Amino acid sequence: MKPAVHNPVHALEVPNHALPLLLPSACMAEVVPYSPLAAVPHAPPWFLGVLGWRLRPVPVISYEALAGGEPAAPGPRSRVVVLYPLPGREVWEFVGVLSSAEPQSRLIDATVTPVTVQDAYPCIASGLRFDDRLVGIPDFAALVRMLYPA
Amino acid sequence: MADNRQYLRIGLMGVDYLLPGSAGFTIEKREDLEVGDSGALVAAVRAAPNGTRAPAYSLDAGLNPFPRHGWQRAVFIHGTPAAGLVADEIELLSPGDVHIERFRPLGRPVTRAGHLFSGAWVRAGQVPVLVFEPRALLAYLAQLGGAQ
Repeated sequence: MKPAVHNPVHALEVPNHALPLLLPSACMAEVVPYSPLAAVPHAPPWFLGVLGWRLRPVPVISYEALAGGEPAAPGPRSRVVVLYPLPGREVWEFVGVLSSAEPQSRLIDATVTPVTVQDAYPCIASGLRFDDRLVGIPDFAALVRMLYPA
Repeated sequence: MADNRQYLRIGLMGVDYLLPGSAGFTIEKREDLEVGDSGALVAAVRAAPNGTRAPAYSLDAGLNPFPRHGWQRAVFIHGTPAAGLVADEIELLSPGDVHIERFRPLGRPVTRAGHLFSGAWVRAGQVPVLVFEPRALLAYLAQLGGAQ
């Protein structure tokens, strides 16, 4: 018998080569194929460039690079997950996250238990384990501080 | 002098940037400038009759100093002090040709005057073109040094 589901949350698992991210579906505007970005001179290594999305400029980040690694080169399976503006940001400040492949739909319910994530992974509030895989739930407040330092 | 609704397309090694006309800028021909030594950070200097001198820098697509030899024109941004850069291509675009959306780069600003870019021109199927924030660009050029 399946366990009861209490207030399930729909989310997308966004794969990358550091720690897959689990993002609530409600914070996503669209998932689009990767297309060439405009490079921004002197940007931090995790800020990959600017995507043209629906005639808007959207900055795209790499979580691998944010976690201190090398940003993986985008390939034909790469996607950009376009997020609605983060808390406290202007309505036009969409932000993109590079995904190494098509994000996968996940349902988070009471049967999924949080696990501690190493400090090596920045901007992560908590971890969850699906099967044998660890995924990270972003700490949006920390992400805002990183992306938009005062 | 530029119409403040116009944009100037500045091509640097195959990458385009836009400078808003509201910044106030002047385009000068090479022959009207004091051309610096080959490979120097300051490619040319504009000497005004009142004695003020404005440097024009030679930069690559990533806005790093880069020696450039075959340039023909430089654009000077009005300010105190004024400064400019030499470009591979310069083209004035009318307001009807360009639609700018607001854009804020991520991370810490490169200059004390803020981020280098404040907008972008996005066209379907093309890489966005970033729009300089003029005051920040002037501050960035001043940071490069090399001006007399």
